[in-house]
Amino acid sequence: MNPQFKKGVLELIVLESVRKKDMYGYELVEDVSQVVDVNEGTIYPLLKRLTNEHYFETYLRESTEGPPRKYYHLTAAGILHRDLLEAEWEEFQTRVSRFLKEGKEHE
Amino acid sequence: MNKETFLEELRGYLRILEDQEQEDILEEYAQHIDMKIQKGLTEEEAIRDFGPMKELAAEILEAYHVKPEFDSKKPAARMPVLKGAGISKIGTFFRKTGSFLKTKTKACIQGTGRGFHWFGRKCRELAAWVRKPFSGREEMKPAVDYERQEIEAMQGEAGRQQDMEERRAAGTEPAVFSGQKKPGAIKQICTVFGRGIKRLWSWIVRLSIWWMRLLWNLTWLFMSVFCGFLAMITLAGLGAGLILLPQGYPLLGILIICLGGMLCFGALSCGAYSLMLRRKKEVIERFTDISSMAGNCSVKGCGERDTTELE
Repeated sequence: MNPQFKKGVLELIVLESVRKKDMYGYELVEDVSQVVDVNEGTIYPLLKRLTNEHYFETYLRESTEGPPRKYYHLTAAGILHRDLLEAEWEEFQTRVSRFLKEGKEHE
Repeated sequence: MNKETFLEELRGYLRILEDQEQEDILEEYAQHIDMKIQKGLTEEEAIRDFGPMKELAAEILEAYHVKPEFDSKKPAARMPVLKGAGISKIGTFFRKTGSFLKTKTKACIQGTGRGFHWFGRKCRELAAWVRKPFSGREEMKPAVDYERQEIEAMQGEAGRQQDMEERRAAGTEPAVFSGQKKPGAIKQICTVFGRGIKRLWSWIVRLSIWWMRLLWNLTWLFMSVFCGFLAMITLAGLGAGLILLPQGYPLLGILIICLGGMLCFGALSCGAYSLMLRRKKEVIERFTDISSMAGNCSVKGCGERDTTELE
């Protein structure tokens, strides 16, 4: 898939994943990878940015294996941002598909 | 490439970020690699999945709104990559303590500086309050002064910080590896401390001048009022004498004394009043300033109007 497509929609996917339940980094990467095939390394900076922008909160939780894990939780601001992105995505998607459909009818 | 070297190299690219942020993001990558190894992959494979280091670093920096090309020419020049996990671990430990000390001392210094600043401002406010009754309209001036100083201080701060960043970027700052020795930090402490003392000293001098001035003014005010009071009493005596003299009372001597006393005390009162310190000159200067500013504004306004009309 076109990497530019992925990049644009990755933020929405990450926000949606964390909305479902609080997750730690690796768990989230796996969850996102099921939807879009993306370089795993690029998700962490995104998480960092969304945390810095106060869309995520983080907390540490002990794990049975290895060191404590940093969990990400979606804040109220994050939910608003997610909804906004979703609305944008819907509009964008319908417009593009309508345009493509019109193109086909003309043929 | 193993995990340690990968993290070291990545850290080299992320040097522009704050130490805490570096640790944060590198920890995530370390954990990611650990999880991959648990899943049965080798270190090599786990790291290969991240793709090219440079792209990854650029991606991270982009998330912080940092230009990726910044400083990317000399990635790990700061310290040689150590061979062997044991030594590397010691290095990480030193670096962590180093960065911890650094942030703490920085916070400490900033706190002290702010304390001095606050103290200075309070002194000045007090001085302005003390001065108020003696100089009608001058309270505005210190406020302006203060704002300007604040701005200057801020600029200085920003400049210093920028300087620090640049030095860090250029790698002239001592290797963070030997965390405890930091001439840069000591120098900073000295300059900040010295500046604080200097400022405090200037406040003290100013404050003592204001107090002396106040004392002086109060003394002469008191003298003037006192002499005026005596002059009034002698004037009353003079009046009474002038009334009683024609009635045959032998009060000529007292009358003359009263007249002399009145003139003398009146003169002393005026003299004492004139000795009080004032600042009429500055007030006038400020008025001219304001009027010239107003003139400028009106000229500018006219200019703007002209241009709009031309358009």
